[in-house]
Amino acid sequence: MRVIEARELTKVYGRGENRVEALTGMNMNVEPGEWIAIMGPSGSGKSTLMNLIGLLDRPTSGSYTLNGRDVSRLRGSELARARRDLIGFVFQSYNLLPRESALGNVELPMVYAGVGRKERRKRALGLLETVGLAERAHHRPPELSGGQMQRVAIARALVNGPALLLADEPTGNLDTVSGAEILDLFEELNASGVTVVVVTHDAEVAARTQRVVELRDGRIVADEPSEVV
Amino acid sequence: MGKMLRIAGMGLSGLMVNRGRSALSMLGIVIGVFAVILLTSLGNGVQEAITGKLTGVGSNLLLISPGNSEAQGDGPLAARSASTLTREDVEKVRSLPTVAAASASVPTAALAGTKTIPMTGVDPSYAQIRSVDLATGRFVEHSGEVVLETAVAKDLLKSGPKDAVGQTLKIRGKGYEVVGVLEVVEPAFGPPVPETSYMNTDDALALSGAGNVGQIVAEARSAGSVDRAAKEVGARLKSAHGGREDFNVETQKDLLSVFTLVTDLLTILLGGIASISLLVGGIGIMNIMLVSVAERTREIGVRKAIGATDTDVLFQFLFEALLLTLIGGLAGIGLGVGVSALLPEINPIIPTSVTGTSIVLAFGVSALVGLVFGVLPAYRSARLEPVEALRRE
Repeated sequence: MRVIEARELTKVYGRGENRVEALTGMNMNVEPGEWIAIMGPSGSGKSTLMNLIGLLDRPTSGSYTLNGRDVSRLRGSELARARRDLIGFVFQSYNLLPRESALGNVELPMVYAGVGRKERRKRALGLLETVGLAERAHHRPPELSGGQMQRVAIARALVNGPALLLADEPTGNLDTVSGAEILDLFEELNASGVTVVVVTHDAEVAARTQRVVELRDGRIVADEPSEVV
Repeated sequence: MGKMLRIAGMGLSGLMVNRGRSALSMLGIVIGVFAVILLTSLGNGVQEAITGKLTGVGSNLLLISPGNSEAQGDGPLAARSASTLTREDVEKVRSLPTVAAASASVPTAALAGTKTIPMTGVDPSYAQIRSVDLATGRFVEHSGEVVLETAVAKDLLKSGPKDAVGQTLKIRGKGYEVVGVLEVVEPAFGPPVPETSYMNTDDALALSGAGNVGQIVAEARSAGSVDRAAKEVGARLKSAHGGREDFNVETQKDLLSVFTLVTDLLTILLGGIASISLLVGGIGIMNIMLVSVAERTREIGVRKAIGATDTDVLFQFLFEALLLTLIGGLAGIGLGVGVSALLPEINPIIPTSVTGTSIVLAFGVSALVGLVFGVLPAYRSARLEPVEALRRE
């Protein structure tokens, strides 16, 4: 079973004169355990693709099968539930809730999934340990460094056991050292079987992955193992 | 359930973010609920004071007075014409099975020495019907006896209540034996207990020269049979008066219901005025919640991205508004109950009475205000598109 199977995925914004085709007839497969970078300059449609893959937005046409389930026609709460259960998001600006502790932030997706308090605590602490922040569990985001916040965000993304870890410029706000550490962490997670898709315009980030998909003007222009890039 | 509780907790922590602002917007609800509680408490207090005094007078009471709105149609003189009630009418009322006792009531004035004192001629059963309290002695039972007011006894006989009994009072040259002295009557609501001394009906009729009695007072067998008694009295007297209804039969219930109606309206009016401030408070809550949703657009986007459904977000903000109004409501109830308890301490004339109903109602209304004015902001937050919300700074 493939993690992602996208067929003729198209996204159109606006109508009439304002009509913009952000993504045109895109086909893409992602197998379990892959580590992929989606690259492209701004305006290439990579944000649109990420929103579609991440179930934040719905395609205008085409089909999208995530983990064997056709999710392209889901709306509202069904979409939110699929997102909760199948996708783990990592954002460029971390997007942690500043008033919740690291632990609280990691527990949040499980709250929405209806996981019990004890189980929540256990899983969240386990994942904070995996990302190397066990002793910072009760710190709030403002008390953490950028790299640490991104680790909390990664722990949060993994906590509901998603089919796909989807990262949007995950090292964009980090210095080189912290950025490299985050990429190390992705590599470790990928080695343990997590499927990772990174959206980036940074060639160095792409070089760390196994496969690079390149977008331009809403179409895939290259899809090759990363050594070739 | 655990999930809902946790989401409610998120609502609470949302309030804590901006404590000062939350407290200020809550103040509108506090004042609104406080006003509702206090003003309805005043309304209820007035009502209880009035009905309490009224029922104390005797709820079995029937008052039969001459004159009727119908009679006014007969000309200007008809209404104020001499009493149409006779001694025979008293007997007829008394003979009815639903009537326990009846007495005439003949108002007159007695000239004793150089002073004129208000005097009412009554039958012996009057004392029982109107619950006349005596300081000493007994009530008038026979002709030639009088019962005096305390003040009159002191004034005319220069003696205290005890010494007055047994003395003789000369009225228009005729001697009357003082057989009792009245207790000082406290001013009360309801049909006024006349400040008067009492003598026998026949003596009063003779003294005043009037042919008819001024009023008939009667007592129904029980509080439950008052209405039936009133109907029977009406029918009996109407037939005795040749089919003319030239009299009025009043019961305490009529009076009570008029007062209750007035005070109910008063309470509703006061509560209504106070509700306007509650409404204003609710609009304040809506305003602050809209600001809060706008400020936290990105947070909402994040929550949705990590799996919150529209309903989850809706509930979070609805809980937040609800908590604002409920906490405000409780504070307002506390304040209202406190001030209601304090007011009579400051000035005993102010009657207040906080009823359980008004507390439950105030609490319910503040919850409703939270729901109604929280729905729009909460709905707006729930409908935010995650992509849009995440883009916001």
